[in-house]
Amino acid sequence: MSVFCEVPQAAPVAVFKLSQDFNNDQFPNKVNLGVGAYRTDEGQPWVLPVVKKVEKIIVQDGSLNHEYLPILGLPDFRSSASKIALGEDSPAIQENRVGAVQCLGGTGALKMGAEFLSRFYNGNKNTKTPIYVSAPTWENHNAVFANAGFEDVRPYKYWDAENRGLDFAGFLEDLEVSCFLTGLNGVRLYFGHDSFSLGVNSTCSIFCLQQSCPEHSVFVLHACAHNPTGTDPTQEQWMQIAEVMMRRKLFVFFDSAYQGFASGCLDKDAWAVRYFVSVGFEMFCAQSFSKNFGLYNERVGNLTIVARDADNLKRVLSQMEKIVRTTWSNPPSQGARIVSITLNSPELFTEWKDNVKTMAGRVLMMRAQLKAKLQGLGTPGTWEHITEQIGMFSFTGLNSKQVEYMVKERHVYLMASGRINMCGLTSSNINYVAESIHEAVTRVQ
Amino acid sequence: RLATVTQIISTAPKSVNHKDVNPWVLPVVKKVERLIVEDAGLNHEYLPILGLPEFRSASSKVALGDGSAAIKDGRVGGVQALGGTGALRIGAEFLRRWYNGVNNTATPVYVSAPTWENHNSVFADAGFKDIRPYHYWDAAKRGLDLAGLLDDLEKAPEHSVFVLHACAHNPTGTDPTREEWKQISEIMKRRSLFVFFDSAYQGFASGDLDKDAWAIRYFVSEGFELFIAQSFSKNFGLYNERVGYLTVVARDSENLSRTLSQMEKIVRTTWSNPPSQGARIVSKTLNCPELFAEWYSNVKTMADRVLLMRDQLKAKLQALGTPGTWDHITQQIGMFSFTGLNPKQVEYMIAEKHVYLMASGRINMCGLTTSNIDYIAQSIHDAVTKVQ
Repeated sequence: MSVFCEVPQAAPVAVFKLSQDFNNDQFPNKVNLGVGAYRTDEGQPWVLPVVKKVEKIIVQDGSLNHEYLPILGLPDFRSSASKIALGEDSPAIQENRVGAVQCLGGTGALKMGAEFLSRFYNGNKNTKTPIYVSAPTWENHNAVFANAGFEDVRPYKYWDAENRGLDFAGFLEDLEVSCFLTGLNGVRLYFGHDSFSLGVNSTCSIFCLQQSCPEHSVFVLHACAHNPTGTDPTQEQWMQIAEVMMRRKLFVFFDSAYQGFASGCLDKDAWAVRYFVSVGFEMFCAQSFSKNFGLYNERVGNLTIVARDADNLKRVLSQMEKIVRTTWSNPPSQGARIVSITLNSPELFTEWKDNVKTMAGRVLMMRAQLKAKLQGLGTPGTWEHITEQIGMFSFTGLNSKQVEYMVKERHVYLMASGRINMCGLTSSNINYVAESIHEAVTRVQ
Repeated sequence: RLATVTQIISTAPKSVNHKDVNPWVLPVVKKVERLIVEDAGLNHEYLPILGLPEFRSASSKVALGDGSAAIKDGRVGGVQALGGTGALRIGAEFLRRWYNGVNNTATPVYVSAPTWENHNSVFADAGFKDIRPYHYWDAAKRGLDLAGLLDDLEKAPEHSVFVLHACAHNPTGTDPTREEWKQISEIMKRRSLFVFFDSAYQGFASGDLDKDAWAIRYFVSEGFELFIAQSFSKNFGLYNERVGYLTVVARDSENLSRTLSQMEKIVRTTWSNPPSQGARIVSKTLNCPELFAEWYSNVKTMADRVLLMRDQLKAKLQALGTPGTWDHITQQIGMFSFTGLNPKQVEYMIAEKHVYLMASGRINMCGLTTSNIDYIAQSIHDAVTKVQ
């Protein structure tokens, strides 16, 4: 008898399963609009020219060795990565209250932040602190926080399927609402405090108690290019979100995986993060350099930490070290070296920004062309959202039946949610994809 | 500042130092790094969650041997992990969730007394509530406390997890003999104890990969299902690229498959998928006969230098007439030696002699060089004769 005989088979990760199915498909015109990685117009992965250049520099540098990095990572990487997020002239950085942990991609940064919060935030080992993730969100958010020990991971309203846009009222409601009761007649009564009470009054015979958003809850916010919807709050909306979060003492945890990649401009894509810092939040920002450096497999990430002052920061980092030590001991060097050398050299930095603009530009072009073709075909529905949405992904609005049709009949692979990766579109396949969407929408309901 | 003292010698850090007390990038590693950078066929797309396939199969072969029957039976697999630490962590997380029941955090986990200082924390952070020491180091006789070890095995609750050092025990440098491994194995099998090897020094200990893997291979041949956390930090000198592997040996391929599927879920929420560079270097090297031979030679260079320093240190202490016996210096194996110096003597070494070693008396033999060995031998002599 095996000691593993009771271990159940785990379901595969959906997005990788999709790629696997795509790879196994023999259809000559198949298209992969699933996994979130950049592709050239030839449908090929792209190693950024600046990355190739820096890799050569590294291999020729006889002064480099493979000694362990510090637990928190390569110092030059950490500081330059935080500068990318917060801005070269960030006052918070100048005030010495910004620190960082080099992590294994965005996932590793989220993981370290989550592990820290579960131990030390809102009390000691308070695993009941609610964690709010957007509905929908990146499929791994929930599991990362759950595996860090949090018992209460909840959705906050985000995507309005009917209007194909941000459900801003719902979002604010989830941030704001402290306690409400629903009567049988559907009337909701709001209270301005966090205590619960159960009662009966003359208008309803039974009250149903609803859970609310307690103070100190953690909110995972997408810094830009929301995954999977591609729909971000406007600057005005961010300001309102910040106001409520500040008032209700909610913890800000940004997930920033697409800085630069979304609009082509690093500063523009970091506006929300910087605004929150400027209004005085202490917060975490999980940064990924997988997409904007195309360094997916070297696992380059950074958890930027903004604290009230240097003393608090120092103690937080000391605890992060302990968490890192029992997870990966110290982080991998290669990717961090590439990013650090690039960010710290004016010429290479300029070249990198240019490479980033190339990627963002191609995505914007594909968006414009897809919309134009769907409009040209007279495909039912409105397709404005294709160009209004931003970043790598688009929530097409296709329902699961239509998606099934796309995959099975047309060999166009996309997520069951209707999410497509714009990078999968090329000048060679865009007509076929537009026609396929047209077919799906007109034939399948 | 201590830096102004010319005779500062650090024997504390764990990384290998060449004779000029410099880190050493293995020549074969430099060669392969160039091959990688010149290979236009490579890109940076995500690796599979469980890692680079060629790396995975090569790693298992290194541990279990090219001709391993278990590998041929299709019942060996594994997870590319972030160094030995990452491999231990994934294994621990899996065991906590799925071993000896579901989420049974009460399963005792035994680690040697003493052991690598991070073992306890890794298992504790994975959720285990009961981490216990098993007898290992006999300070009086400066050797293995076999009777104590065997007794702990007999008394441990069935299904307890035991973390065994495959070779070059850290920090004592003292390994069981083959006979002693056989006794350990017999009890563990009879009492259904789970075998979790930590293998951080294969090749580095004796210079011979097969010799250093004897215990692992013996246990596999005895039919155990087991985990092996392998590190390529030391034997490839790739400390900062975090190259590790968790080898999983199961009863059959079906059990293996379900186990790996659950490990994928754990990896996904920890680092998603592993880093490429180090795994590529190791994989290219292990899978190419010429590079493999060159690597083997580099490993022997490191192991031989350590053996030479051991010989010389013992000879010098004997020549100085330093009180006590110093045979353990050459009997112990691998990077570390438990000198037997007590905390007061260690303090003296650091404060008076600027020779840095762990409070336990553990020294890293790699910190010794032909230039400093006389000074160190003299320092040990002074510590032993002046401080009690």
